[in-house]
Amino acid sequence: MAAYVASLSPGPRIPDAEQYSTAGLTAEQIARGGELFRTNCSACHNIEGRGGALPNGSYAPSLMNTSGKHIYEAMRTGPQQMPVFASGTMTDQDVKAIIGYLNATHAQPSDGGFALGGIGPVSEGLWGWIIGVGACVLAAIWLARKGTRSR
Amino acid sequence: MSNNEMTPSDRTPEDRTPDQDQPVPDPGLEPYVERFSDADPDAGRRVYRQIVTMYGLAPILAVAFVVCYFAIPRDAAVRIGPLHTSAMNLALGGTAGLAILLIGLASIHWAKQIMEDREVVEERHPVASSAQDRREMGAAWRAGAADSRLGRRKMVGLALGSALGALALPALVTLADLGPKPTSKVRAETIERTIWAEGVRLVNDVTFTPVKAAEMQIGELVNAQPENLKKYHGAEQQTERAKASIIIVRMDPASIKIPDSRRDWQVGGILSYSKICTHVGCPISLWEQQTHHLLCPCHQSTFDLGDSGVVVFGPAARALPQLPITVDSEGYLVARSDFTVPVGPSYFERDSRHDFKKGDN
Ligand code: FES
Repeated sequence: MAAYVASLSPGPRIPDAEQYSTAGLTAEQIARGGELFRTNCSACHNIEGRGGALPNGSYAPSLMNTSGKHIYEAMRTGPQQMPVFASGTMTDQDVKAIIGYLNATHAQPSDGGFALGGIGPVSEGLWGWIIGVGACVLAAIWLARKGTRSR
Repeated sequence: MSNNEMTPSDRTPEDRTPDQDQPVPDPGLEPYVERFSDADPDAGRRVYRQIVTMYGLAPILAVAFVVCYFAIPRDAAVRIGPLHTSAMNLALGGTAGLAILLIGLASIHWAKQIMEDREVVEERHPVASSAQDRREMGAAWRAGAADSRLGRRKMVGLALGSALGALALPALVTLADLGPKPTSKVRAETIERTIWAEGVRLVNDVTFTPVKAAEMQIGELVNAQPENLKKYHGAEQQTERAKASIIIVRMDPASIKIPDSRRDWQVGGILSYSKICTHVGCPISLWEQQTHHLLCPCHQSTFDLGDSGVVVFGPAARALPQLPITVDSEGYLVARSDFTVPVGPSYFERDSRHDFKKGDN
């Protein structure tokens, strides 16, 4: 089937494992991958690769559980609204670094309570504020109430 | 209720003197109704038990806190559904927080259900001080004024006033440090120009590799910078980067509108635009390759890169400035000139007559 589809039109091949494998990446290369990710990908996929909304109901999917192979393929082909990141400007080495960055980020333990998707201190603070102030308001209402009466 | 004072509920509106000067007649208080905990001995005992239990749990939680403190390893983590947290934090916060909460709840419960339930009326007192206080204050003020001898030596007051007034001058003068005065000459050298110039190569942001026109595919997006950005360092580099950032996109020339005046600003459907939103200046690279729309994440301004960057949605008032580009002898993309209009957000003195408007040609 794949061979038949491939016979119909030109297009990038299914990548070989060594094109997207992150084995042997150094810490510098992973940090460089982070720079590349933040510059090219985070606008849609969120700073941690947790995905995000696009106009008219479409969305950029979360990359939390996306395999390196699929990230590679998506960058080279540009599925749906996603732009293409072709090898002329984004080398295989760059793609590897980006995948390495995502893996490293997602492997980091995040034991800071509810994970709201790395949406940033303002949005996370807003939730804290709504819940915290909401609870204070409810407590104040209870304090000021007269309480139930026997009739 | 056992008290021999007159409770306000004993007073009905009829036996009060009508307050003629009040805009609304005093409706009096609602009749007093006993609480359950007073009317029903069982309910009373239940409330009593609840309060004692809540207070009684607090010491147990305090002990639990101490136990957790020593028993839980520092790096243990727990996952409860979406909650993902350090076991130690959860246990310490949970026990201490719950203990304090229970003490608070019990105290309020006690106050509301068991403490005396007498209702009292406290009349508001007038805000103004008494006539006597005001007289005394006035006398003290006049005596102080006389003691200062300002009446006879008027120059002292004048000198003090001008001394204090003159101190405003240093404060005002330091405002000059807020920045250079934005005269038209200063603007032309700062916010109205970028480091783009004829022949400057378009290079990939981060890696600084030049972009070859032939290698760009349809639907491709490149976040790019001018090659000469490398010459700048530190704060200066950030300033130039903030103005010069661009995105390069390649679209099928048959699917987009290229005005005659911009025919030679592009290379076979490869177009380059400022990355800085014309609303308030967020960097934008959220590009949909099928609709050719570029969406700003800050306030959802949407620019149509297939139509010279005109605004199709949102608060931005001006089209995204386009950078005229061509290819050099080696096939790399280079700028033909700087942007033809200032990039970025509006400012008071900005001349917007040269911006591209929908339908221009
Ligand atoms: S900054 Fe882009 S829409 Fe406001």
